Amino acid sequence: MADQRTLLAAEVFKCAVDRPVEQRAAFLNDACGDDVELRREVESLLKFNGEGGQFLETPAFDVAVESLLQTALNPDQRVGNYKIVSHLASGGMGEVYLAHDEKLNRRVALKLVRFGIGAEQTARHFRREAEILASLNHPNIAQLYGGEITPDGFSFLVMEYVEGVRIDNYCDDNSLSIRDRLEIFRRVCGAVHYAHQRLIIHRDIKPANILITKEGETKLLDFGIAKLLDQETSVGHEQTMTFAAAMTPEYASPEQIRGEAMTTASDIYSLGVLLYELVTGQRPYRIKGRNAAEIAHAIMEHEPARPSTAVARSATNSKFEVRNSKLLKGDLDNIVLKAIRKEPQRRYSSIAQFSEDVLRHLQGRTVIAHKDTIGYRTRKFISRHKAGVGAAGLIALSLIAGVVATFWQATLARRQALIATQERDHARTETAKAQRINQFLQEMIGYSAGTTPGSPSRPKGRDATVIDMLDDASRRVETELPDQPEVRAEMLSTIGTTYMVLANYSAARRFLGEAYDLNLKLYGPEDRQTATVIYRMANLSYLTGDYAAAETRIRKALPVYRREATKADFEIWLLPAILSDAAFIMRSRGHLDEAEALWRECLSYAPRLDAKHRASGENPKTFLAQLYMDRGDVKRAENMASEATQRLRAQGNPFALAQSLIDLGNVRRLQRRYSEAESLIDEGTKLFAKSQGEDHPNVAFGLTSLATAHYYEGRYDFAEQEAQKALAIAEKSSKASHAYARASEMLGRILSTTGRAREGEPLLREALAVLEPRVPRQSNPIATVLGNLGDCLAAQARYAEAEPLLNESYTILKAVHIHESPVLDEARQRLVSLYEAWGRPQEAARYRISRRLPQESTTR
Amino acid sequence: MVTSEKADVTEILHAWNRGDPEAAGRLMPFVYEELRRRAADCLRRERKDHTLQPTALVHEAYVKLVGQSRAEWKNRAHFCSVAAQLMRRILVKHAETHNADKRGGKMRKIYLDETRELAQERAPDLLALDDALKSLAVSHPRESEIVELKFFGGLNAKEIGEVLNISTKTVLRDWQFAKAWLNRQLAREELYG
Repeated sequence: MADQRTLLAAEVFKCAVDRPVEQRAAFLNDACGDDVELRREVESLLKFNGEGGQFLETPAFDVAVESLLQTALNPDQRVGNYKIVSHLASGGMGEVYLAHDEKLNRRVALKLVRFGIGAEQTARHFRREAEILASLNHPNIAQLYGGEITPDGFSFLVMEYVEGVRIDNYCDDNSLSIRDRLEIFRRVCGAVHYAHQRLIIHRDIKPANILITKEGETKLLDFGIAKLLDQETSVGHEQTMTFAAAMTPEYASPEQIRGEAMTTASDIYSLGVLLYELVTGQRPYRIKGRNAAEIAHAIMEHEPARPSTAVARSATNSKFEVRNSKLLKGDLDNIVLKAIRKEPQRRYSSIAQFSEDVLRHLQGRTVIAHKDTIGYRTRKFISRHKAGVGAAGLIALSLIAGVVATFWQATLARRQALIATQERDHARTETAKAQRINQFLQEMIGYSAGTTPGSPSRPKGRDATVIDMLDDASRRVETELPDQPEVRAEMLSTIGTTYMVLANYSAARRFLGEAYDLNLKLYGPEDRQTATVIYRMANLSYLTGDYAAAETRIRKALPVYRREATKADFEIWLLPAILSDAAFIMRSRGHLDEAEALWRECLSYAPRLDAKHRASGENPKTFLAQLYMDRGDVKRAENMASEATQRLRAQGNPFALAQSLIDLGNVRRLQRRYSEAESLIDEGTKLFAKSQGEDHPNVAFGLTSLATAHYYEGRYDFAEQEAQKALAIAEKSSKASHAYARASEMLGRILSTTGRAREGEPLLREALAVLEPRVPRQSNPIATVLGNLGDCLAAQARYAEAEPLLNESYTILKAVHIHESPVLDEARQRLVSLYEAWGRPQEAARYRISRRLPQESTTR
Repeated sequence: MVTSEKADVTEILHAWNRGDPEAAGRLMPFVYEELRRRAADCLRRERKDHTLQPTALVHEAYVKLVGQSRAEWKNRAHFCSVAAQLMRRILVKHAETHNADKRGGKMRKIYLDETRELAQERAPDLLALDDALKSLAVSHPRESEIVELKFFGGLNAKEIGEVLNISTKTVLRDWQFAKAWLNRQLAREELYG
């Protein structure tokens, strides 16, 4: 039986809660008077009033359902080969148990995914997805061993048992510094990147899914489980909402909340939220309620506070004293915000890029993330993703896009280096490159062949080539993206570019052409995206030998790029790469002044490049050295080549260094400093052999240069030896290559000079035949080979045949050269010799005289 | 099958009404089945949050189980009261069975999930709550009954007022008191128990 005071306390409490909080104290004074115990009792109850918010508001039946969910299996109960040890936890999608695998005698975690056996199709989907996820094998990913369905109706996943602490708790408990947090974060990135390369998206990255073990190891849990449990592959909007709400909505990306296809960009977003939380101790959005709709609204509409601002605002929170607003301001603010941008395409293009930027920050280098400029690109990518596209198809496409974009950027620099070898060897390198890229892409996405559902034309198994993949993708673009012109334009451009990289030029032309038309319609000619397509088309024209078209196109794209480059979000390293491509095109058209100016402009960007691109920033020096040499400007060629050599030596970039050593050697040869020339060329050649293999065409180039130096020195036997070696190596790659032409030419020349002109002639003709379709007529290589062939014919007393060749050679060289040079000298000397031997002294005298008129040679 | 099941349930409810203490145990499998079905729906995500309206819960379950026989009950108030008591019995018994396993094994939380943390904030241990409710009934029987009707019976304040013949305002104040009281009681148990 209740005593009086207890009943009285209840009455006082009920009256007190009816009153506003500020009046309660006065009321209690009146009501309780001197009864201290009564007052204490009422105050104690008031303290628990409203505590726990939802307490008792959930009906008991639901509570019972919850508890049933939590304990569906009992200890010692057997499920398949597993004996339940204990209940571990309740995940958003099912119960997790610690179990003992009796067959393999190891501890595992069992994740019970649903009751009963679903439809046959569901079971298949479940097994297949589990198999795919089980192929993820990474030290930082909790291993999924497989998925099983027992006859008595349990379906469950068998996973590595991980014991650890949530990443956020771990960081706080150990008071880790920002730097340490970033290091751990990068490990998480590594694991996610690994999975992305295998076309697997996590879909539910959040602190609860990232544990740090006792050993300090980082483990990601539940990789891709979200998709596996999502039986309906075509997820409707509403379902996804429920789904997003069932999971932790705070980490869901805007596109996920909208129920749109999730891509690698969605994981990048979630990682961004995680990073935000790790460095600020807060979530990016300040949401009052826990209502899923409110959270969704905030994620889609609100702009998150800059991390430094968020920390500054809560400076009183001593728990996060490690979080220093000053440390976050600038780079980290930008990095985090770039990752959680609302539009997927404005986030980092890959986890690798994200992680790399964090590393750059750690190393005190310039990061690529920029402050978001207001008003930039109001067109929202998201709205383009509306329903109607098979989620899997879009993922496959976007993944290809990511891979190709990354690869394209990576190859830009390398391609320059390849072209630097004077476009020589075009056909071969293109084929080799195509093979390499094919292999590369296949390694990255070949796996997906078995994982992309709903593609009828896709070849079975894992041996699908990238071409198959690409063909498949291009068909999808035709049929699956009718209402999404922006996405379509992007994909067309990507596909076209990929075909170009794979050297399928006709397909490349078709897709780039379509991409161009669409971009023009969508964005107009002055847009960056349109310019990108035009730039790629210019590259395509160049690669296919249509230099005039290449020139027209690059002239259209350049002004747009120059303008765009002033904007904050432009990746500045791209500009020199594009300018350099433009320079090659101009050179091919004989606009040597313009080419020179463009390369000089490239050099002006070198100080602004980060470490990754700095090495390729030296490339223009090599190109310029070659250009100056071709134009007879030996002095400047020497300056450029020796400067490049010094820099590259310091940077330890063997490929570029080899190239510049040989360039410098060739300059020394023109200066008649033969022993220096030979040792430089020798060093460069050996470097090529070491870095690219003994049989690489570049080694043949080096040997030909060495032979040339010996030749001018008059050591014909050595020259012949080296030329023979060069020819043999070049022949291994292809007879239709630049390297072969050069070696063949040199050997032919040596033979003519040493009284074997008839043997030399076919070699020279072969060289000409190889070069003619590959380089512009008005170029140094053609002039040289014409001169050598003419000389060879003259040596056989076939003067009439020799005359036009020697004349053309001289005319070309005169046009190309801006200065007097040993090369011009030589061409004139040949004409003099020809006419003297032919018995036409007057004409011979003309060339002798002109030699004393340096003005003539400046004619251009 | 369906009819005989219905008949069984009706019979059990009558027995319960007559004061047969075993009735709750006999009804258990039926409610349990319903629980399982709900849980399965829940896992398949067929359930939308709003389909489980607190007030509709018991009515839904009982109307389904009892069907027409509801008319035989003396009055609505009596029915609701009996239904709530019965539900409490069943759910607590169910919790006893299940929590036994849970308490036996060592609980080690490694996969923590925010959603579930939230759920636990508002989902008390039914056994502990039942004990606390018994204590409350000693000093404050009316408040205790209100909790039973609302939490186990799924009735709203207005309906409870009708059943107990008191004003809605009183129901709300009593409810607020009972919540504070139970909340404190459970907190104490957690601390000392």
